[in-house]
Amino acid sequence: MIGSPLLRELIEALRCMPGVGPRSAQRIAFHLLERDRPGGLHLADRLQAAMEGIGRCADCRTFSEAERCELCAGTARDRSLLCVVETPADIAAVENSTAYNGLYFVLMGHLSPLDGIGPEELGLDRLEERFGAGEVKEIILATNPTVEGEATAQYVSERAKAHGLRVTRIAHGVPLGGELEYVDGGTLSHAFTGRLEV
Amino acid sequence: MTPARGELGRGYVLQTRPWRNTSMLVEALTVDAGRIGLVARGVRSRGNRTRPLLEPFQPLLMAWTGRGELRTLTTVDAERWRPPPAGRRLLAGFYCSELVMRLLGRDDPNPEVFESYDLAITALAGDAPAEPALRRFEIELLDALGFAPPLDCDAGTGEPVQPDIDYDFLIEHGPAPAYGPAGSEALRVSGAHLLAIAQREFDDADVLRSARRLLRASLAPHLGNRPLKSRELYRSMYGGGST
Repeated sequence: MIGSPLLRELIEALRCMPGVGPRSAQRIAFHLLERDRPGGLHLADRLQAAMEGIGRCADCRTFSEAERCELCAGTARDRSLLCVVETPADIAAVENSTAYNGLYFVLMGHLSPLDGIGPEELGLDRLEERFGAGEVKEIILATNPTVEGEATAQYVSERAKAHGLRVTRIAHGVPLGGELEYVDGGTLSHAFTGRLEV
Repeated sequence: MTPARGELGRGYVLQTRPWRNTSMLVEALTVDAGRIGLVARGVRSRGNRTRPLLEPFQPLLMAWTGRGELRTLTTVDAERWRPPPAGRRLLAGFYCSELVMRLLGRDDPNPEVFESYDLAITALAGDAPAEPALRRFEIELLDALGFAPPLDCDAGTGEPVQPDIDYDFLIEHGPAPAYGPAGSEALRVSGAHLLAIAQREFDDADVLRSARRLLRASLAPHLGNRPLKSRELYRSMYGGGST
């Protein structure tokens, strides 16, 4: 690769981003240097601040620079509902498109015995503390519809039921605008098992 | 043996992990090539129709190209989607997969291992009793890997095991007539139970209990020091019990 040592290092560093290979990294580096130095400096500054300042919410474990994230610290949400998701990105997905008004708990993964990830590795004791604290009445399981997500949902539901909580699982079904003919067998089969009376 | 290009062979996904942006690494157990590593390209992109198939415990038909560490998955199909094992049975399924991952090396074609795994997962996905299915899987896995000690003849003399006397089962050797009080190293098992286990007859609850002790002890030396995560998970969810 041509260029000064700094340029080479910049290109190499940009490659830590998902989807950025050597060519894209080079394109980004040249773009910032040629056309948008203020943008580059701003990015560097914000990256620095975010990497150093963002930790995890003490309650739900999503990303937050305060000890508690806005949702957990605020008073606007229904504190009796707790939605269990696998990643912070799942919170964003639910927030962007549903009317859900409760709180969240981020597992930061799922149970996966074959990868050596059990309840301790996921820190599920923290979740169980929430169950026992008395504030939460209903647990909404929103783990992914994979066998690992299912195993995780099952584990969390066993623990929640032991605390006498109501446990629900989000429905799996046919995507909107989809055509039954092209829906995979698993989804269709779930849609039939989970059918609702109208 | 790798089937000819494009030819579909039976297989199961044991484990997957995300790879790059839209691809996935798949650990598969196949009838023709044994346990292999595959790259499933592009399956994690939005609306991909292959992704839902690439789940553990689905009986699949798959084809791949390449050889060595990482092959490329080219086709995957399922005759019919089958609901995976549910509840405790799901954990039992993970247990079977974990045993295969730990005991069967990659690229070691072993159709017997595949058939016994298929039988066990089919039983767990259906409503056949789970415990006999697990015991049968354990003994057949040990057998297929050449680790199973004889059960129906005396390890010392080679005489057939007598149903009406007790034996001390010596791990990796076999049964010897019981001598003195039951010790801690040896497992004391009745001859009748040994014969039933050898015949894979697990209808009797006492035989099942003996089989569980005996098979667990027989698996232990091959599993090394690392405990089985699926067994731990089962225990932490349901207390002691049937896996």
